[in-house]
Amino acid sequence: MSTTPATDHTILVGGPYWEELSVGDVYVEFPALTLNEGHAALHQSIVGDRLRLPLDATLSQRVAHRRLAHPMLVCDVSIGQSTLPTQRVIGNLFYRRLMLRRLPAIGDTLRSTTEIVALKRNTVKEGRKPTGLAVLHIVTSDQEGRAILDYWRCAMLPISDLDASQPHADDLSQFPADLPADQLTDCLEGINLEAYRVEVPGAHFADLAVPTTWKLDGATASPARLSSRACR
Amino acid sequence: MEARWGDSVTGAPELARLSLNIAKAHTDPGSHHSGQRLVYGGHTIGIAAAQITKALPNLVTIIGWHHCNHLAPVFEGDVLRSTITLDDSEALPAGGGLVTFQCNVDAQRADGSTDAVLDWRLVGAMA
Repeated sequence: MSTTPATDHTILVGGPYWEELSVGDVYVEFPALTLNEGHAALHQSIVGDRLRLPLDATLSQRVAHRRLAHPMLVCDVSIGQSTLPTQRVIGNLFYRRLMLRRLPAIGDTLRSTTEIVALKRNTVKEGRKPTGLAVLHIVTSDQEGRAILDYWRCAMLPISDLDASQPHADDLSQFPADLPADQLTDCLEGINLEAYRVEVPGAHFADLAVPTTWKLDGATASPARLSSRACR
Repeated sequence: MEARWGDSVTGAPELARLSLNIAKAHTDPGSHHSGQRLVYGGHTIGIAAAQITKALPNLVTIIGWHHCNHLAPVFEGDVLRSTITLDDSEALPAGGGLVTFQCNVDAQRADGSTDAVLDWRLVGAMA
């Protein structure tokens, strides 16, 4: 599907156009990736994240009993592993139910399967290239087969041959936006929040006021001073 | 106009490649009508997540996304600025709790104009 014979000796490599996708297609051949310190460092250098657990091996060991990877690195790899059918993507419209089932560690190997679960041909507009939407169901697991992520992504893809395209009109509202409330804490199993509270100075859950709005203005907010709380 | 601190978007093809993302739009400028590479959506989200950790340095982890809507494309060199609102929390029996944020991100373009680019609602954990 993603390779098209052009001549006897030449194969064009590229992703499918929208009309080449069918509901039920499953893509399983994407490479797995073992998360290592290099991935963590490169990711951190590009987005500048400051989550303490992925940065601090000692704290991560005390709180999680393993060297946690950054959750956004995990999400990025999962999304990357789902791009086989969306190499020609014009844009991503939404993600649904994207929720970590477990917090992977450095050394864990992520693999993903991607299934086409809904298709919708966009209305053709005068002077615009025709496009369609595809909803992908992406399931990412680790080397032990443990669930890591299970979500939907909606991509807009170009249509190469409008006459060959089917007028699919699947209902895209069938993918619920809200995360399942009873599963939100699954990934915190084995995470010792009390140890985190004891080890880390500064404001924790009990210190938060709802609602609070932050606008970033050039400095890390509320730097922890050497208070009795910070000293424990 | 409010002057706020932003983060420049850099290294966009590198993040796409690092995460095994093979969408042409992130590496080939000819694949988008603008003639520019599109920044991978998770890149924008990653910088927004980093800005959340500057606002709340003791966020333990991000758990999930209630919704995440990309409102406009982001290009390398854009400067991203987030407004983050903690609008819900739920204490956990063993201490700590879940926190829900609305994070809205603007991109300042090379020509000085500004567009809303991300509407992200996420859940995290605090200790």
